[in-house]
Amino acid sequence: MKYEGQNKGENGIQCVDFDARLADVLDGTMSGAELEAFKGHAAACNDCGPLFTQAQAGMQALRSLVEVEPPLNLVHNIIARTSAIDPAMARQLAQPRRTLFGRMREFAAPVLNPVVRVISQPRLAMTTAMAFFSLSLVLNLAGVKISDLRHVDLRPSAITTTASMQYHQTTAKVVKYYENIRFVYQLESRMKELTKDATKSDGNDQNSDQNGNKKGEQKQQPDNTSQKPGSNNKDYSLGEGEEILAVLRFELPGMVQAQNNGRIS
Amino acid sequence: MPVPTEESQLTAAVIKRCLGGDASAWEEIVRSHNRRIYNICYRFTGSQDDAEDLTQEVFIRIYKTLKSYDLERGAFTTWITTMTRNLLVDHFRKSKQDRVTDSMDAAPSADEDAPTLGEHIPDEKPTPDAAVQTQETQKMVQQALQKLSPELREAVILRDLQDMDYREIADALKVPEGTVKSRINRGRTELARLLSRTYRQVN
Ligand SMILES: [Zn+2]
Repeated sequence: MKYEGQNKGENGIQCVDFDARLADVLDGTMSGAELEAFKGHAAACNDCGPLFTQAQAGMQALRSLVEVEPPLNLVHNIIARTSAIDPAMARQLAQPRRTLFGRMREFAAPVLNPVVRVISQPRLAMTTAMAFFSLSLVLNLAGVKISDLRHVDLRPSAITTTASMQYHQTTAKVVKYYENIRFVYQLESRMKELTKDATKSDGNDQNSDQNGNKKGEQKQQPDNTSQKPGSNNKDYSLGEGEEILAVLRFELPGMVQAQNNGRIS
Repeated sequence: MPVPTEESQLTAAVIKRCLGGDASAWEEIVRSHNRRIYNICYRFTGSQDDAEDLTQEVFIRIYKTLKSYDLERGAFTTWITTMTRNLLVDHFRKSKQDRVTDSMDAAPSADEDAPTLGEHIPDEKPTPDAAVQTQETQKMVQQALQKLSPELREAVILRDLQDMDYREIADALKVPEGTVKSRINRGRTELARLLSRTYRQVN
């Protein structure tokens, strides 16, 4: 074995310098005579040659990694948690929409309104806690299990944020968020049933309240098929699905060769 | 002292609003940085759950210490990166799962021969379509990345995935630029060796 490059410095470059400048070469910031000398050293030196090939292959492999999609509830979970640290800020975030129930209504407005009219009688005059209770009630009536929402922060302090954030995100981003989409689909289908009943019984408002709910409950079964196809894949919201779209750029055979080069020397 | 760019001035304004109690400014900060932090954490830990938890922790820490951020002393992104990195170090120390790869100079050990990759790839795969192949490659690279020592791992993540320059990385990691470069070199070469080994195993 001879390491002539190590001491003599092939092409006027010491191995130590080669290592120091390797990153620059791969960045493309080296040019001209300097680059030629560098390449010459790589070709002649048994240590630096493989090093160069491997570093290049490693860099390409790393750069082939695609950016992953953060979970959609990440932002509002963060804000919910930091809001808990600073109640003043939480109040501020809550301000634009008057009450929690108001926010819930906006969130599910198109389908929820007829039902809300029945449930949110003025005499109920809800506190936040009450409103949360009613939310569970509405969801239960709608056939949505609370366990379906396990990724969503359901603490009353957090739901303030959750409701408003989700409202903002509904149109565009909710599509990608599995928990939400399932929630919305279930809610929507249940609500369509309930809406029908509620509209039918609009005339005798209060009395028909219970009937409407019963009907809604009876119709739970056929509705199970109304989920979006494929949405019962639990990993849907996770970033890995995105990676399918990536294009493979680095070449593994090149790396194998790099490895072999290293061995021959 | 860093030259005040338009971006850093905008950042400064948002931070000022946030410190003044403007909740929407805080939301803006969270929105503009969560993706980046999540990706750093995901690539470092290899776990979506850990990345989610860690990203939340990072923001809680940012929130609590925002008033200590000094615009004169560096870019906000670098400051956030340092914070993320420190939490990753804590996380790494706490979790024992990575201890095998702790020694960065050790030759790849026997556990590497464990058929982790083989499990995911069917034996009889005549022509897997490009998408599947790409996904497998992503998995392979991520698994190799997981085997790098934390020092090398963070260096290549910040350079090759986050596209930070050496200066920024040196600032974020609080080590000299020369050290950053040599860690990046070693991280890349080590990764290529791990990959070529895996590749030969699978094929
Ligand atoms: Zn050399």
